[in-house]
Amino acid sequence: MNVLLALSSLLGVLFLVHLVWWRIRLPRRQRPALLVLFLGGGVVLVPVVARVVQAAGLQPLSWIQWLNVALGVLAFALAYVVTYSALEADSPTLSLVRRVAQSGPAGVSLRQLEDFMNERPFVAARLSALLEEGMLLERGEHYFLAEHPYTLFRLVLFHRRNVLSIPDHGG
Amino acid sequence: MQQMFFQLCHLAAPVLALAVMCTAHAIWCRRSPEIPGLNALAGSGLAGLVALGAIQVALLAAGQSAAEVVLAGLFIDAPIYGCLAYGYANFVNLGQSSVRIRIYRELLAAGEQGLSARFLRGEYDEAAMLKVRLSRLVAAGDLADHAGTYTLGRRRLWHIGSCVFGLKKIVLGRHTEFSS
Repeated sequence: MNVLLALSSLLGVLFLVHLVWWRIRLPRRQRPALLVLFLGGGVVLVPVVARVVQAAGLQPLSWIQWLNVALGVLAFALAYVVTYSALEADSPTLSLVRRVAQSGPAGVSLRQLEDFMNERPFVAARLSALLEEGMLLERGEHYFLAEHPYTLFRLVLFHRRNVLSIPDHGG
Repeated sequence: MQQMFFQLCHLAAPVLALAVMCTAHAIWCRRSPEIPGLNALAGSGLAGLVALGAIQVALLAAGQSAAEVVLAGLFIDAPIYGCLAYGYANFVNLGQSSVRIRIYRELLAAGEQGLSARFLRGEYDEAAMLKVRLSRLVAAGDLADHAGTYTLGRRRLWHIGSCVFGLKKIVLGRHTEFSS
């Protein structure tokens, strides 16, 4: 019960701070800011949460239970940051499914879907985002990879190729 | 001492369940590459959930009270496993459908020459993206193709989309990045 109270109060406060912060002003690098908020903020709030658990008349958390709370915050933060990518930038697949669902049982023709996609320049939006984040360079009419570790991209492709044995890209 | 053992088990349970999921997913993808990606992920996620359930049953057998097992299992271990599994599924899906990773791969292959804006925009234009996604969604049963007219098939992606678009409205105050 004490782990549940600590975890839910910690996540509740952090999520509330995130909502208020984002509504006041969007950070320039939103996903790193989110990670800093959830992981850094989680550490800062530990003494407050310990007090809340005490005030509720529950047993103080052992170091193992604090680790459990830390794992919970980390798992939630990672899951939320992943979801946040879909909030920040529309997913073409989910947008497509939503458009088809809106048409109901009558369905939607290929032509209508093409029009729908043409109104949403996903590739141009991603290129702009990559340029803005400094991951791509534009010289004249050409794009180049910037000096950047690309750790996540490399990890994703390594896992796909060597662990899952899927050589091609889905698109 | 026994209490400490139970706490350690609850700490390790979601991580072990995730390990089961990742292993099952790798085996599934290697043995049956023809299975749609989302189905393989759902199946392996279920395998992880079964492992998580087995750990809870083992804790009951080891003497932890049923109330503690239910409380920790349902409200702590399962949500943590859910978040980890969701994170893994998205990590895998990045390699499948991320436009950013596609652009990165193309530019990596192009080397120092880079790629022209015209090539990138032409290669990954919205029509090409639509074609690939439609065939994948129809193959997975998420959309149904009635001779060129598309309707919703399985509702799982629609549910995910509703959550994402709803959350977008709450956090960012808009439904889509393309709305003015």
